[in-house]
Amino acid sequence: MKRTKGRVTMLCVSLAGVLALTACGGQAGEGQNSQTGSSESAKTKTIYIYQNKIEIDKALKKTAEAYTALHPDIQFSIESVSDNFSTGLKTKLASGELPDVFTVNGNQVLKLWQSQLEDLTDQPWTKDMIPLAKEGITGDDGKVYGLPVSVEGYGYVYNKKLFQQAGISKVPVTLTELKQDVESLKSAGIQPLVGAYMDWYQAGNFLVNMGIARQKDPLAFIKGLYDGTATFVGNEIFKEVADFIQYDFANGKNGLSTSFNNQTTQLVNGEIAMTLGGNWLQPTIDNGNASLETGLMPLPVNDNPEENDKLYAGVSGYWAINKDSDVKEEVKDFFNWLVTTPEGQIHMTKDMQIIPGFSSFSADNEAIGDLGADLSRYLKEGKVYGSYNSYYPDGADQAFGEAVQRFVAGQVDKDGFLQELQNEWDRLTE
Amino acid sequence: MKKKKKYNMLWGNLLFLGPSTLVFLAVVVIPFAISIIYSFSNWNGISNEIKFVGLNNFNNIFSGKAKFLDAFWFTLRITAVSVLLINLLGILLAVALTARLPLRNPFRAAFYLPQTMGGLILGFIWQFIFIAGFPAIGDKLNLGFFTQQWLGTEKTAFAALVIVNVWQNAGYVMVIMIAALSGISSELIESAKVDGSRPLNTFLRIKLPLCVPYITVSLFWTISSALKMFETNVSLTKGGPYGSTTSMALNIYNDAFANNKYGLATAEALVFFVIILAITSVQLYMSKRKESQIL
Repeated sequence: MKRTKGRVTMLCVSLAGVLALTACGGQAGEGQNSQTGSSESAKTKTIYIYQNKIEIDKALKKTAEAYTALHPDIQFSIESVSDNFSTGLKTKLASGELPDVFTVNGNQVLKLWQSQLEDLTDQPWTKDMIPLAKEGITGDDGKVYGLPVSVEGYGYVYNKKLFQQAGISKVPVTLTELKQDVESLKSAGIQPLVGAYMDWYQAGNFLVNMGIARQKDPLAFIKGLYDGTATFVGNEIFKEVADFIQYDFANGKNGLSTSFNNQTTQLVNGEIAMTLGGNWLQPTIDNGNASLETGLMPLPVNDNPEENDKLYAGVSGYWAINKDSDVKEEVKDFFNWLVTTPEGQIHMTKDMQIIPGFSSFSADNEAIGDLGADLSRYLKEGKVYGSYNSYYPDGADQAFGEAVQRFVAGQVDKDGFLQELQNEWDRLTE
Repeated sequence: MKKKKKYNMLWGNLLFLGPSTLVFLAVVVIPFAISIIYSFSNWNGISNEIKFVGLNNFNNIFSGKAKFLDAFWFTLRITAVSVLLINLLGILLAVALTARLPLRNPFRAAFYLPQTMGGLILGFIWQFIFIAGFPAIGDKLNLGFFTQQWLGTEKTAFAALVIVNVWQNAGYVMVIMIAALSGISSELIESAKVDGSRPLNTFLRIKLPLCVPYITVSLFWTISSALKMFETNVSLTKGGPYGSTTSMALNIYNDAFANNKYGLATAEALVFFVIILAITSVQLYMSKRKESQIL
C-alpha cells in the first residue's frame, strides 16, 4: 500500500514537473516575442516570409533590403523552400510559429488555411488582379485572401535549333502537324520527346489538367465531379488527352525512369527537341546553357487549330498573411509598395522575373526570357487554358499521376485509365 | 528512523528516475495518447474544426479503401525478402572475414561503411546509379540486364529497393556476427577438429547454434527496421512506379501531409504500431524458445 502511495506521489510530482516545464516554455516564448517587438530602439519589426518559389529567393531578399532601406524599422526574415513546403508549413503551425506571410495555393488549399488568413479584400490592389488570378484566391465568402505572386504556364518547351536542323519552320498547332514534326525530327536523328513519367508530379498536375481545362466549362465539370453528375469515364475530351499522353510517352525515351532532373538536364544539354515544361524552367536554362534558344508551344491533342493553339496557365501561388501576426499592417504596407509603386513593380518584374497577375503592370520581356515571352504573348492574345489542380481534392495530383504511370506502363487501357481517375477522385472526396 | 529512510528513497528515486520519466511522458506517452484521440477524428491537420467519426478511419483501413493494405502487403513482401538476404549475406561476410584473410580489417570497414550513411543520401546516390550508372555500363558492355529501366517497372523497382537495403544493412549484421563468431571458445573448435569434424560440419553443428542469441538480435533489428522502411523508399522510388513500392511508413506520411487526412494517418500509424509489435514479439518469442532449446 505504502509503495503504491509512493508511486502515486511520484507520478503526481512528475506531472507537476511537466506542467511547470511547459509553463516555463510558454513564458520563455512570450518573453522572446515581446523582445523582438520592443528591442532595438523599440521600433524594428521583423516580417517572417515563408514561400515556395525557390527561384526568386535571392531577388526577394534583394527587394526586401530595398524596402528596409526605405523603411528602416522593418526587417525581413525570408525562408524559401520548394520540396516539402506544405509539410514544413504544417510543422510550423503545430509548433506555434506560423510565419507572418506564407504561400497558399488557391481553392482547396485556400479552404484548408482560410481560418488562419487575413482578409485582404479592402487592399487597393485587389481591383487590379486579373480574373485568372482573382478566382483562385477568392473564398466562398467572396473575400480575397492573398496576393498573386506569378502567372505560370506550360506547354512543350522546344529547342529552336533542333527544330531548324529538322527543317521545321513553325510550331505545330494540330496533332497531325505534331506527328509530322516528330517524324522529321526522328529522321534527322534527333530524340523528339522525353517525358518525366518517373515522378508523378508532371503527369498528375499538367497532363491530367489538360483534360479538365479543355472541357467546355471546366469549373462546372469539376463541380459535377464533386456532386457526382460528371465523370471522367467515357468523356471524349479525356479520351483525346489519353491518346495524347500515350503518344507523348511512346515517342519519348525511358519515360518511367526519367526524373525531373534528368529531363531538365537533357533539355539544357540540347539532347531533346521537345519536353513538357513551363516558363519556370527559364532560370535553369539561363544558368545551365545560356546559348540555348527555346520556346513554349502548345500541346495539340486533335486537328482543330483553334482549340489547340493554346498554352495552359495559372497562378502558381499566392502570398497570404497570417491573421494572428503582430506585423500584419506592416505586411500590408509592404504588399502595397510591391504591386502599386513603380519601384516595387520593377523589383517584381525585373529582379524576380515574374509575369504578374495584375492588369496594372506587365512583365519585362527581357527579364522573363524566351519562355516567359512566349507565355506572355499567348496570355495577351487570350489563347490560354486555365490550371485547375488547386480545385482537386487533397492528394488527387499524386493519385492522378500514379494512374497516368499505370496507363503508360500498359497496366490499364484507356477506359481503365479513365475509370481509375474516377475511382481516385471518389476515394479522395469521401 | 525507518520512515526517514523511506523518505530519502523517494527523493533518490525522483532524482534518478524523475527527469527521464518526464521526458518519456512528454515525448512518448502524451503524443501517443493524443494520436489515439486523433485517430477517431477526421481532422485535416490544420483547421480548428475536429469532428469525431468513431471507427470510420479504421473501417477505411481494413476495407482497403485507404490503400493501407496495399502498402502493408508490399512492406511484408520486401521485409521477408530483405531480412532473409541481409542475414544470409551478413553471416557469410562474417564467416569470410573471421578467416585469416589479407586486408581483413579494411574489408570489414568497407562493408560496414554504408551503414554509417543516411538512408536519404543512399537513396539519392542509388537513384543516380540506377538511372544513369547502370545504363552506361550496359551500353558499354552491351548487357541488357543493366540497361533495363530499373526504377520504371514494378518488379525491378522492388529489386532495386532490396539491393539498396541489403547493401546498406548487411554490414551491421556482419559486425554482430563477427562478434558472435570470435566469441566462440577455440577449445571447442579444436576438440571438434580432433574428433574429425569437417569445417562445414563444425560451422553448422557447433558455431551456428552457439550464435543463436546473436541471430535473435540481428533478426529483431532487421525485421523491425525493414518494417519501418521510409527514407530509402522516399528518396529512391518515392513509392513509384504508380505507387507499387509505397511502404507503410511512406503511406502514412502521404496521408498525413500530402492528402491532408491527419485523422486517417494517425489511425494507420496505430495499426502500424500494433503490426510491428505483433510481428517482432512473435519473432522474439520463437527465437528465445529456440535459444533455450539449444543452449
